[in-house]
Amino acid sequence: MDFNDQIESSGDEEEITAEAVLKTLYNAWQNERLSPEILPHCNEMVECMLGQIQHMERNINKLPKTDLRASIHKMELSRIKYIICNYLRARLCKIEKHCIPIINEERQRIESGTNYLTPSEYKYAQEYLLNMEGHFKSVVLDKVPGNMQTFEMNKMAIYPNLQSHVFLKANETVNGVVLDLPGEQDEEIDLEEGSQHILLYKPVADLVKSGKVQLI
Amino acid sequence: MFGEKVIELIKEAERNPDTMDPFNDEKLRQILEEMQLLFKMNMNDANATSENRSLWTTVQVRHAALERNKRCLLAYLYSRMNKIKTLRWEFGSVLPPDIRELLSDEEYQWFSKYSTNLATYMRSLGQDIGYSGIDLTENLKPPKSLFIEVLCVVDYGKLELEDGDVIMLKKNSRHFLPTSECQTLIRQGVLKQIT
Amino acid sequence: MDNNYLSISDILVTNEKVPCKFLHDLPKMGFLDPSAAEDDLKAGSNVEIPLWLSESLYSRRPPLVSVELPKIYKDAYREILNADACTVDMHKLGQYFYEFGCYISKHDIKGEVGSTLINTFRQRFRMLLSASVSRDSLIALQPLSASERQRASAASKTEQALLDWLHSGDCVLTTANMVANHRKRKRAEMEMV
Repeated sequence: MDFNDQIESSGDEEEITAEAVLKTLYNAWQNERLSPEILPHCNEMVECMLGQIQHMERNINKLPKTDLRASIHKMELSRIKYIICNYLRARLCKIEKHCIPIINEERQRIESGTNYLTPSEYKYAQEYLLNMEGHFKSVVLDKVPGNMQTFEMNKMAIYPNLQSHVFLKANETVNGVVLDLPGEQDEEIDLEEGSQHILLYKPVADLVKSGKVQLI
Repeated sequence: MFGEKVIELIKEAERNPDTMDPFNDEKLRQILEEMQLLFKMNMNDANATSENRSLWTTVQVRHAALERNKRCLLAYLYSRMNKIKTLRWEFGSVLPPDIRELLSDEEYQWFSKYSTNLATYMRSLGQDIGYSGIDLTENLKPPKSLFIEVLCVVDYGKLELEDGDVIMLKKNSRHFLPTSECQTLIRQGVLKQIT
Repeated sequence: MDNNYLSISDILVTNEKVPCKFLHDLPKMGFLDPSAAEDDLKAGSNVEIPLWLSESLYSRRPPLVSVELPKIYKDAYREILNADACTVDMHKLGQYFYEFGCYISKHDIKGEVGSTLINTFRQRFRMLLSASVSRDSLIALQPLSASERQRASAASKTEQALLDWLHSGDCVLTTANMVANHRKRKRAEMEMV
């Protein structure tokens, strides 16, 4: 039982090692923690790692309790679990805070097949919004004067701050990134592979999502 | 009526970011009553604007006050809602009775629904492969060691470990336990890590 | 600081008073002006009203009020701030100096409030940053505005976390924040009984 075990990724001809999946998940986790908006999900990676965890736990239970290998693998397991939990929790946090814009945008993305949320996350978001609306209605909205009783979605929406700054590292050379600075002229910069920068999130959002840059 | 009372509610919400205050049912009721009064005055004056056109301005002012009150009430609810969410992540799905009584009935209902929604989501993780071992409310800090030494701060009673052993958590007893099994109890303040 | 509908900090900012002139008669609203003797407010009355009300009335077509700059954004104070913002007691001057200023600056025809805000922020931010290395120097700072206090507290928490990490390299598991605070409060309440 080794991290270099070959595992098949569903639907692919290629075999990827568990180690590679973990690295991808690690990067996705970093990006998700550091970006102000919800990013496309990595569900396949997560499911893959959960499968690995399940596999490892079964094998550990077969070993005697005092076997050193059991301790080492348990340590590894708890590290992986931590990354997965933190990743999913970061996503839930954003889903809860920005539920109205996320649901609106996701509706359109589902139609074009480019959804950012997993089906479970989408259901969670909808249920969360429903509960919030129900709560506001039963405590306040149903009791205020007549024409004020609507739950105004557009007012309640909390949008992520895409103008926040992020640290990033370029995974490959990217030329001609247009920086749309408020009140100043547009500037264009080139990001050399391996270089690190502090930039506004908005101009690099697509680069983060396509994997061309990594948030650090 | 013009936002003074409702600001007191807002200041209450802001005062203690790290604890839960009791739900201020009484003030909410008073503010709702004031809103009904404002609305009634506006209805009367709106009908009278044909005789006195300048009443229209007055109606606008009252309407602004009504919207202000509505906004503040919802912000009060929302800020408490976020605290209640934290309660679920820190205390677990069962609230101690002294916390429970700080919530209004509707808030407790929201808490239950939130808890259920969270549980449903967590169950869905790994469902396709039959894995059900991920609890997102655990694994909150990066693991540094497999075992830690802890001091029991309250009389908790029996704790059954994963391997079947049962230990007695009595106040002031010390134990050397697997980290994964004490994380939740440490967060709930039952155990304290000794360094 | 976000200024969305449900934001408590924005609600508190918009509670600040701003001097306005009513451009129309306002029957039955005499109570808005504590110095008015009558029930009705006449057009031309100068009254200090909360920002939320002034913004609402100003945005009507035609506007029902004209808005003046509060004195802390006027020439005299601006000069002091531009000269040395770090010696100013921000808590006394304006808890929400920056945020309130952002709302007010659109009523400033000369456009000077905006640059004062930026200038003041720059000076005081440098001061905050250099003081955040030690708790003592933070306490010694001139009283801060609400948002400055938040930033200072975040800075000192980060500093402390870094120190802890450098010392022990270990991550001690702790009681959850709300749980610990709830217990503290209960103990305090019981001691008062």
